[in-house]
Amino acid sequence: MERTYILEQGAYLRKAGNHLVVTKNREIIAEIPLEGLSQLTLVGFSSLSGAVLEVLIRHRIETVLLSPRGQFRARLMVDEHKHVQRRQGQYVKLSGADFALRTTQSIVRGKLRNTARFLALRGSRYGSEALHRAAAQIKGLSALVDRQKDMDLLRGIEGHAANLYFEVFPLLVRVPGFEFNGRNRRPPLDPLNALLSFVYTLLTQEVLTAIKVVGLDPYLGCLHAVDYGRPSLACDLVEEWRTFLGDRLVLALVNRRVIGLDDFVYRPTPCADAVDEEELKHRRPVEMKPKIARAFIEAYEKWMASRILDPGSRERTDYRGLIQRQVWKFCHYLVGDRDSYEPFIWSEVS
Amino acid sequence: MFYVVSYDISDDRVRYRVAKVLKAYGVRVQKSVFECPDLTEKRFLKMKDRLEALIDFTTDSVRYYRQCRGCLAQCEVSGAGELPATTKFSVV
Repeated sequence: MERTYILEQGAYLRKAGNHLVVTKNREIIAEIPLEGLSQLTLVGFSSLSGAVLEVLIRHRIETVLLSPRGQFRARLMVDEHKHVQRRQGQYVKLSGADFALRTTQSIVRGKLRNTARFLALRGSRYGSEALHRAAAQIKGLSALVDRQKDMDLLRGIEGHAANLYFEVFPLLVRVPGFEFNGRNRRPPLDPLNALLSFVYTLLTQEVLTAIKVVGLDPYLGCLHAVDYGRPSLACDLVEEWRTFLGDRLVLALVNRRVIGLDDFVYRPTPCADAVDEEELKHRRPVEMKPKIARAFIEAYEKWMASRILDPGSRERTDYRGLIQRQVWKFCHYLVGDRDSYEPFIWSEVS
Repeated sequence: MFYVVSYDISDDRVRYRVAKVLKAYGVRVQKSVFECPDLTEKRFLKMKDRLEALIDFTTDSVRYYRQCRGCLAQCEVSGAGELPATTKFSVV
Protein backbone atom coordinates (compact mmCIF):
# COMPACT_ATOMS: atom_id res chain seq x y z
CA MET A 1 0.00 0.00 0.00
CA GLU A 2 1.44 3.34 -0.96
CA ARG A 3 -1.30 5.51 0.49
CA THR A 4 -3.58 4.99 3.43
CA TYR A 5 -6.53 7.11 4.48
CA ILE A 6 -7.88 6.92 8.01
CA LEU A 7 -11.51 8.04 7.90
CA GLU A 8 -12.72 6.27 11.02
CA GLN A 9 -13.49 8.81 13.74
CA GLY A 10 -11.83 8.19 17.08
CA ALA A 11 -9.25 5.79 15.68
CA TYR A 12 -5.95 5.39 17.46
CA LEU A 13 -2.77 4.43 15.67
CA ARG A 14 0.04 2.63 17.37
CA LYS A 15 3.12 0.87 16.21
CA ALA A 16 3.67 -2.87 16.58
CA GLY A 17 6.77 -4.38 15.10
CA ASN A 18 7.03 -2.87 11.69
CA HIS A 19 3.36 -2.27 11.07
CA LEU A 20 0.73 0.12 12.30
CA VAL A 21 -2.28 -1.04 14.25
CA VAL A 22 -5.46 0.99 14.05
CA THR A 23 -7.70 0.54 17.08
CA LYS A 24 -11.04 1.94 18.03
CA ASN A 25 -12.52 1.36 21.48
CA ARG A 26 -9.64 -1.06 22.12
CA GLU A 27 -10.60 -3.21 19.20
CA ILE A 28 -8.26 -3.70 16.28
CA ILE A 29 -9.92 -2.50 13.11
CA ALA A 30 -6.97 -2.59 10.72
CA GLU A 31 -3.31 -3.40 10.39
CA ILE A 32 -1.21 -1.38 7.97
CA PRO A 33 2.16 -2.62 6.75
CA LEU A 34 4.79 0.12 6.97
CA GLU A 35 6.98 -1.28 4.24
CA GLY A 36 6.20 0.66 1.08
CA LEU A 37 3.87 3.16 2.76
CA SER A 38 4.53 6.63 1.44
CA GLN A 39 1.49 8.70 2.35
CA LEU A 40 -0.84 8.73 5.31
CA THR A 41 -3.93 10.91 5.39
CA LEU A 42 -5.80 11.35 8.63
CA VAL A 43 -9.32 12.69 8.26
CA GLY A 44 -10.99 14.05 11.35
CA PHE A 45 -10.37 13.00 14.90
CA SER A 46 -7.77 10.29 15.10
CA SER A 47 -4.69 10.18 17.23
CA LEU A 48 -1.31 8.55 17.07
CA SER A 49 1.37 7.51 19.50
CA GLY A 50 4.87 8.89 19.80
CA ALA A 51 6.35 5.75 18.29
CA VAL A 52 4.19 6.19 15.20
CA LEU A 53 5.31 9.79 14.91
CA GLU A 54 8.89 8.65 15.13
CA VAL A 55 8.44 6.09 12.38
CA LEU A 56 6.57 8.56 10.15
CA ILE A 57 9.45 10.98 10.47
CA ARG A 58 12.17 8.39 9.99
CA HIS A 59 10.62 6.88 6.87
CA ARG A 60 9.68 10.34 5.59
CA ILE A 61 6.05 9.36 5.20
CA GLU A 62 4.00 12.26 3.92
CA THR A 63 1.38 12.80 6.63
CA VAL A 64 -1.58 15.07 5.96
CA LEU A 65 -4.25 15.97 8.48
CA LEU A 66 -7.67 16.93 7.19
CA SER A 67 -10.66 18.15 9.12
CA PRO A 68 -13.70 15.86 9.42
CA ARG A 69 -15.15 17.64 6.40
CA GLY A 70 -12.08 17.03 4.31
CA GLN A 71 -10.49 20.44 4.54
CA PHE A 72 -6.76 20.72 4.76
CA ARG A 73 -5.50 21.48 8.25
CA ALA A 74 -1.90 20.48 8.63
CA ARG A 75 0.89 18.36 7.39
CA LEU A 76 3.81 16.76 9.11
CA MET A 77 6.79 18.72 7.93
CA VAL A 78 10.05 16.89 7.68
CA ASP A 79 12.97 19.17 7.08
CA GLU A 80 14.69 17.57 4.17
CA HIS A 81 15.43 20.28 1.69
CA LYS A 82 19.05 20.93 1.38
CA HIS A 83 18.48 22.74 -1.89
CA VAL A 84 18.93 26.24 -0.60
CA GLN A 85 19.99 27.36 -4.06
CA ARG A 86 16.76 26.24 -5.60
CA ARG A 87 14.71 28.25 -3.16
CA GLN A 88 17.06 31.18 -3.47
CA GLY A 89 16.62 31.02 -7.21
CA GLN A 90 12.88 30.96 -6.74
CA TYR A 91 12.89 34.05 -4.49
CA VAL A 92 15.24 36.03 -6.70
CA LYS A 93 13.64 35.15 -10.02
CA LEU A 94 10.01 35.40 -9.01
CA SER A 95 10.71 38.81 -7.49
CA GLY A 96 11.83 40.06 -10.88
CA ALA A 97 8.81 41.69 -12.51
CA ASP A 98 9.62 40.58 -16.04
CA PHE A 99 10.26 36.97 -15.07
CA ALA A 100 7.11 36.78 -12.94
CA LEU A 101 5.10 38.22 -15.80
CA ARG A 102 6.39 35.68 -18.30
CA THR A 103 5.73 32.82 -15.89
CA THR A 104 2.21 34.04 -15.20
CA GLN A 105 1.56 34.36 -18.92
CA SER A 106 2.46 30.76 -19.59
CA ILE A 107 0.43 29.49 -16.62
CA VAL A 108 -2.67 31.43 -17.65
CA ARG A 109 -2.22 30.51 -21.29
CA GLY A 110 -1.98 26.82 -20.39
CA LYS A 111 -5.06 26.97 -18.22
CA LEU A 112 -7.18 28.77 -20.82
CA ARG A 113 -6.09 26.49 -23.62
CA ASN A 114 -7.01 23.38 -21.66
CA THR A 115 -10.34 24.85 -20.60
CA ALA A 116 -11.19 25.85 -24.17
CA ARG A 117 -10.31 22.41 -25.46
CA PHE A 118 -12.44 20.75 -22.81
CA LEU A 119 -15.47 22.89 -23.68
CA ALA A 120 -14.97 22.33 -27.40
CA LEU A 121 -14.75 18.55 -26.97
CA ARG A 122 -17.86 18.40 -24.81
CA GLY A 123 -19.58 20.83 -27.14
CA SER A 124 -19.11 18.47 -30.05
CA ARG A 125 -20.20 15.50 -27.99
CA TYR A 126 -23.40 17.09 -26.74
CA GLY A 127 -23.97 19.11 -29.91
CA SER A 128 -24.21 22.33 -27.92
CA GLU A 129 -23.75 25.70 -29.60
CA ALA A 130 -23.30 27.55 -26.30
CA LEU A 131 -20.37 25.37 -25.27
CA HIS A 132 -18.65 26.00 -28.59
CA ARG A 133 -19.21 29.70 -28.24
CA ALA A 134 -17.69 29.76 -24.75
CA ALA A 135 -14.77 27.67 -25.97
CA ALA A 136 -14.11 30.12 -28.79
CA GLN A 137 -14.31 33.08 -26.41
CA ILE A 138 -11.86 31.53 -23.98
CA LYS A 139 -9.53 30.62 -26.82
CA GLY A 140 -9.68 34.22 -27.97
CA LEU A 141 -8.75 35.38 -24.47
CA SER A 142 -5.79 33.01 -24.41
CA ALA A 143 -4.45 34.73 -27.52
CA LEU A 144 -4.62 38.03 -25.66
CA VAL A 145 -2.50 36.76 -22.81
CA ASP A 146 0.85 37.09 -24.54
CA ARG A 147 0.36 40.73 -25.40
CA GLN A 148 -0.75 41.67 -21.90
CA LYS A 149 2.02 43.36 -19.96
CA ASP A 150 0.18 44.20 -16.78
CA MET A 151 -0.09 41.62 -14.02
CA ASP A 152 -3.49 42.79 -12.77
CA LEU A 153 -4.98 42.77 -16.25
CA LEU A 154 -3.62 39.27 -16.69
CA ARG A 155 -5.40 38.19 -13.53
CA GLY A 156 -8.48 39.92 -14.86
CA ILE A 157 -8.36 37.89 -18.06
CA GLU A 158 -8.06 34.70 -16.06
CA GLY A 159 -11.02 35.68 -13.90
CA HIS A 160 -13.10 36.59 -16.92
CA ALA A 161 -12.34 33.24 -18.53
CA ALA A 162 -13.33 31.47 -15.32
CA ASN A 163 -16.64 33.36 -15.34
CA LEU A 164 -17.30 32.35 -18.94
CA TYR A 165 -16.46 28.77 -18.07
CA PHE A 166 -18.72 28.50 -15.05
CA GLU A 167 -21.54 30.19 -16.92
CA VAL A 168 -21.76 27.24 -19.30
CA PHE A 169 -20.79 24.67 -16.68
CA PRO A 170 -24.44 23.61 -16.03
CA LEU A 171 -24.66 22.49 -19.67
CA LEU A 172 -22.01 19.85 -18.94
CA VAL A 173 -24.18 18.20 -16.30
CA ARG A 174 -26.44 15.69 -18.01
CA VAL A 175 -28.42 14.62 -14.96
CA PRO A 176 -31.56 16.64 -14.23
CA GLY A 177 -32.01 18.13 -10.77
CA PHE A 178 -28.52 19.41 -10.13
CA GLU A 179 -28.52 23.13 -9.63
CA PHE A 180 -25.53 25.28 -10.38
CA ASN A 181 -25.78 29.03 -10.02
CA GLY A 182 -22.20 29.96 -10.63
CA ARG A 183 -19.18 28.92 -8.67
CA ASN A 184 -19.33 29.63 -4.96
CA ARG A 185 -17.16 28.54 -2.08
CA ARG A 186 -16.48 29.04 1.61
CA PRO A 187 -18.92 27.48 2.01
CA PRO A 188 -20.09 25.88 -1.25
CA LEU A 189 -23.85 26.23 -1.54
CA ASP A 190 -24.83 23.28 -3.70
CA PRO A 191 -23.62 19.70 -4.26
CA LEU A 192 -21.73 20.50 -7.47
CA ASN A 193 -19.81 23.32 -5.84
CA ALA A 194 -19.08 21.11 -2.84
CA LEU A 195 -17.69 18.37 -5.08
CA LEU A 196 -15.58 20.84 -7.03
CA SER A 197 -14.19 22.36 -3.84
CA PHE A 198 -13.32 18.95 -2.48
CA VAL A 199 -11.53 17.77 -5.57
CA TYR A 200 -9.63 21.06 -5.89
CA THR A 201 -8.42 20.69 -2.30
CA LEU A 202 -7.14 17.21 -3.04
CA LEU A 203 -5.42 18.36 -6.23
CA THR A 204 -3.78 21.32 -4.52
CA GLN A 205 -2.42 18.96 -1.90
CA GLU A 206 -1.10 16.75 -4.68
CA VAL A 207 0.75 19.66 -6.27
CA LEU A 208 1.95 20.89 -2.89
CA THR A 209 3.47 17.49 -2.16
CA ALA A 210 5.26 17.54 -5.50
CA ILE A 211 6.58 21.05 -4.79
CA LYS A 212 7.89 19.88 -1.43
CA VAL A 213 9.58 16.89 -3.03
CA VAL A 214 11.32 19.14 -5.53
CA GLY A 215 12.39 21.45 -2.70
CA LEU A 216 10.75 24.72 -3.67
CA ASP A 217 8.88 27.07 -1.37
CA PRO A 218 5.15 26.58 -1.95
CA TYR A 219 4.29 29.97 -0.46
CA LEU A 220 5.77 32.17 -3.16
CA GLY A 221 4.04 32.12 -6.53
CA CYS A 222 3.38 34.60 -9.28
CA LEU A 223 -0.21 34.42 -10.52
CA HIS A 224 -1.49 34.32 -6.96
CA ALA A 225 -0.15 37.22 -4.96
CA VAL A 226 1.62 36.54 -1.70
CA ASP A 227 -0.90 36.19 1.08
CA TYR A 228 -0.55 35.10 4.68
CA GLY A 229 -0.69 31.31 4.81
CA ARG A 230 -1.63 30.81 1.19
CA PRO A 231 0.51 28.33 -0.74
CA SER A 232 0.58 30.56 -3.80
CA LEU A 233 2.91 28.44 -5.88
CA ALA A 234 0.73 25.37 -5.35
CA CYS A 235 -2.32 27.44 -6.30
CA ASP A 236 -0.49 28.58 -9.45
CA LEU A 237 0.63 25.17 -10.57
CA VAL A 238 -2.71 23.52 -9.87
CA GLU A 239 -4.42 25.79 -12.41
CA GLU A 240 -3.41 23.65 -15.36
CA TRP A 241 -4.94 20.57 -13.73
CA ARG A 242 -8.30 21.91 -12.58
CA THR A 243 -10.22 21.10 -15.72
CA PHE A 244 -8.26 18.11 -16.87
CA LEU A 245 -8.23 16.24 -13.56
CA GLY A 246 -10.78 17.90 -11.30
CA ASP A 247 -13.80 18.89 -13.38
CA ARG A 248 -13.66 15.80 -15.54
CA LEU A 249 -13.73 13.52 -12.48
CA VAL A 250 -16.63 15.35 -10.86
CA LEU A 251 -18.63 15.42 -14.07
CA ALA A 252 -17.98 11.73 -14.70
CA LEU A 253 -19.24 10.80 -11.24
CA VAL A 254 -22.31 12.97 -11.54
CA ASN A 255 -23.20 12.11 -15.12
CA ARG A 256 -22.77 8.39 -14.57
CA ARG A 257 -25.03 8.71 -11.53
CA VAL A 258 -22.42 7.42 -9.09
CA ILE A 259 -23.18 10.44 -6.93
CA GLY A 260 -26.77 11.61 -6.74
CA LEU A 261 -28.63 14.41 -5.07
CA ASP A 262 -29.64 12.27 -2.08
CA ASP A 263 -25.99 11.57 -1.21
CA PHE A 264 -25.85 14.96 0.46
CA VAL A 265 -27.10 16.43 3.69
CA TYR A 266 -28.81 19.79 3.28
CA ARG A 267 -29.27 22.46 5.89
CA PRO A 268 -31.24 25.61 5.57
CA THR A 269 -28.77 28.39 6.33
CA PRO A 270 -29.35 32.08 6.50
CA CYS A 271 -26.38 32.93 4.36
CA ALA A 272 -23.27 34.94 5.15
CA ASP A 273 -23.86 36.12 8.69
CA ALA A 274 -21.51 33.79 10.51
CA VAL A 275 -19.18 35.22 13.11
CA ASP A 276 -16.02 33.59 11.86
CA GLU A 277 -14.67 30.77 9.69
CA GLU A 278 -15.22 28.17 12.42
CA GLU A 279 -18.89 28.93 12.73
CA LEU A 280 -19.30 29.02 9.00
CA LYS A 281 -18.07 25.44 8.84
CA HIS A 282 -20.67 24.22 11.31
CA ARG A 283 -23.38 25.78 9.28
CA ARG A 284 -22.39 24.44 5.95
CA PRO A 285 -25.44 24.37 3.71
CA VAL A 286 -24.49 21.16 1.96
CA GLU A 287 -22.30 18.26 2.92
CA MET A 288 -21.40 14.83 1.59
CA LYS A 289 -22.65 11.84 3.56
CA PRO A 290 -19.77 9.83 5.08
CA LYS A 291 -20.34 6.79 2.92
CA ILE A 292 -20.23 8.75 -0.31
CA ALA A 293 -17.13 10.62 0.86
CA ARG A 294 -15.41 7.26 1.09
CA ALA A 295 -16.58 6.25 -2.38
CA PHE A 296 -15.43 9.61 -3.71
CA ILE A 297 -11.92 9.13 -2.35
CA GLU A 298 -11.78 5.67 -3.86
CA ALA A 299 -12.85 7.03 -7.24
CA TYR A 300 -10.28 9.80 -6.93
CA GLU A 301 -7.52 7.33 -6.16
CA LYS A 302 -8.43 5.17 -9.13
CA TRP A 303 -8.59 8.24 -11.32
CA MET A 304 -5.17 9.49 -10.24
CA ALA A 305 -3.67 6.08 -10.94
CA SER A 306 -4.91 6.11 -14.56
CA ARG A 307 -2.09 5.16 -16.87
CA ILE A 308 -1.10 7.70 -19.45
CA LEU A 309 1.71 8.44 -21.86
CA ASP A 310 3.75 11.47 -20.85
CA PRO A 311 3.65 13.78 -23.88
CA GLY A 312 7.13 15.14 -23.17
CA SER A 313 9.21 12.04 -22.70
CA ARG A 314 6.84 9.45 -24.23
CA GLU A 315 7.14 7.35 -21.07
CA ARG A 316 4.30 5.57 -19.37
CA THR A 317 3.20 7.11 -16.10
CA ASP A 318 0.02 7.99 -14.21
CA TYR A 319 -1.69 11.31 -13.50
CA ARG A 320 0.23 11.68 -10.27
CA GLY A 321 3.50 11.15 -12.11
CA LEU A 322 2.40 13.72 -14.67
CA ILE A 323 1.92 16.33 -11.95
CA GLN A 324 5.34 15.57 -10.54
CA ARG A 325 6.96 15.88 -13.96
CA GLN A 326 5.37 19.26 -14.48
CA VAL A 327 6.63 20.53 -11.14
CA TRP A 328 10.12 19.30 -11.98
CA LYS A 329 9.86 21.16 -15.27
CA PHE A 330 8.93 24.28 -13.37
CA CYS A 331 11.93 23.80 -11.10
CA HIS A 332 14.30 23.40 -14.05
CA TYR A 333 12.83 26.58 -15.45
CA LEU A 334 13.43 28.43 -12.18
CA VAL A 335 17.08 27.45 -11.88
CA GLY A 336 17.65 28.42 -15.49
CA ASP A 337 17.96 25.06 -17.26
CA ARG A 338 15.01 25.94 -19.44
CA ASP A 339 14.06 29.18 -21.12
CA SER A 340 10.33 28.92 -20.70
CA TYR A 341 7.81 27.00 -18.63
CA GLU A 342 5.46 24.95 -20.78
CA PRO A 343 2.30 24.07 -18.90
CA PHE A 344 0.61 20.75 -19.47
CA ILE A 345 -0.96 20.63 -22.92
CA TRP A 346 -3.98 18.43 -23.19
CA SER A 347 -4.01 18.16 -26.99
CA GLU A 348 -0.70 16.32 -26.93
CA VAL A 349 -2.14 13.53 -24.84
CA SER A 350 -5.30 12.40 -26.50
CA MET B 1 5.66 -8.01 -7.62
CA PHE B 2 2.87 -9.74 -5.75
CA TYR B 3 3.99 -12.51 -3.40
CA VAL B 4 2.11 -15.12 -1.46
CA VAL B 5 4.07 -16.25 1.58
CA SER B 6 3.13 -19.27 3.64
CA TYR B 7 4.91 -20.90 6.52
CA ASP B 8 4.95 -24.01 8.67
CA ILE B 9 6.72 -23.44 11.95
CA SER B 10 6.69 -25.68 15.01
CA ASP B 11 7.92 -23.36 17.73
CA ASP B 12 5.29 -20.91 19.04
CA ARG B 13 7.69 -18.07 19.68
CA VAL B 14 9.38 -18.31 16.29
CA ARG B 15 6.00 -18.50 14.59
CA TYR B 16 4.88 -15.33 16.33
CA ARG B 17 8.04 -13.51 15.31
CA VAL B 18 7.75 -14.62 11.70
CA ALA B 19 4.15 -13.38 11.58
CA LYS B 20 5.28 -10.07 13.05
CA VAL B 21 7.90 -9.61 10.35
CA LEU B 22 5.40 -10.48 7.63
CA LYS B 23 2.89 -7.96 8.91
CA ALA B 24 5.34 -5.25 7.90
CA TYR B 25 5.11 -6.35 4.29
CA GLY B 26 1.60 -7.55 3.70
CA VAL B 27 -1.81 -8.65 4.83
CA ARG B 28 -2.65 -11.80 6.70
CA VAL B 29 -5.21 -13.79 4.71
CA GLN B 30 -5.08 -17.07 6.61
CA LYS B 31 -3.46 -18.22 9.86
CA SER B 32 -0.16 -18.89 8.16
CA VAL B 33 -0.56 -17.24 4.76
CA PHE B 34 0.32 -13.66 3.92
CA GLU B 35 -0.21 -11.71 0.72
CA CYS B 36 2.39 -9.07 0.01
CA PRO B 37 1.53 -6.70 -2.85
CA ASP B 38 4.09 -4.40 -4.50
CA LEU B 39 7.25 -5.99 -3.21
CA THR B 40 10.30 -4.72 -5.01
CA GLU B 41 13.21 -7.12 -5.44
CA LYS B 42 15.10 -5.31 -2.71
CA ARG B 43 12.22 -5.39 -0.28
CA PHE B 44 11.59 -9.06 -1.01
CA LEU B 45 15.22 -10.03 -0.37
CA LYS B 46 15.22 -8.08 2.87
CA MET B 47 12.07 -9.82 4.03
CA LYS B 48 13.48 -13.22 3.11
CA ASP B 49 16.66 -12.41 4.95
CA ARG B 50 14.77 -11.45 8.09
CA LEU B 51 12.70 -14.62 8.01
CA GLU B 52 15.71 -16.84 7.45
CA ALA B 53 17.35 -15.38 10.50
CA LEU B 54 14.41 -16.58 12.61
CA ILE B 55 13.49 -20.05 11.43
CA ASP B 56 15.06 -23.39 12.26
CA PHE B 57 16.16 -24.82 8.92
CA THR B 58 15.77 -28.45 10.01
CA THR B 59 12.13 -28.31 11.05
CA ASP B 60 10.50 -25.12 9.68
CA SER B 61 9.74 -23.87 6.21
CA VAL B 62 8.61 -20.67 4.53
CA ARG B 63 7.44 -20.67 0.92
CA TYR B 64 7.25 -17.70 -1.43
CA TYR B 65 5.03 -17.74 -4.50
CA ARG B 66 5.44 -15.06 -7.13
CA GLN B 67 2.20 -14.05 -8.78
CA CYS B 68 2.05 -12.24 -12.09
CA ARG B 69 -0.88 -9.97 -12.89
CA GLY B 70 -2.50 -12.58 -15.12
CA CYS B 71 -2.33 -15.30 -12.47
CA LEU B 72 -3.65 -12.92 -9.86
CA ALA B 73 -6.68 -12.09 -11.96
CA GLN B 74 -7.59 -15.78 -12.06
CA CYS B 75 -7.45 -16.19 -8.29
CA GLU B 76 -10.56 -17.65 -6.66
CA VAL B 77 -11.72 -17.86 -3.07
CA SER B 78 -14.07 -20.32 -1.41
CA GLY B 79 -15.50 -19.44 1.96
CA ALA B 80 -14.56 -16.38 3.98
CA GLY B 81 -12.17 -13.74 2.75
CA GLU B 82 -11.75 -11.44 -0.17
CA LEU B 83 -9.78 -11.67 -3.37
CA PRO B 84 -6.22 -10.35 -3.20
CA ALA B 85 -5.91 -6.58 -3.09
CA THR B 86 -3.95 -4.97 -5.88
CA THR B 87 -4.79 -1.34 -5.19
CA LYS B 88 -2.09 1.04 -4.07
CA PHE B 89 -4.23 2.60 -1.39
CA SER B 90 -6.45 1.59 1.49
CA VAL B 91 -9.21 3.38 3.33
CA VAL B 92 -9.87 2.66 7.01
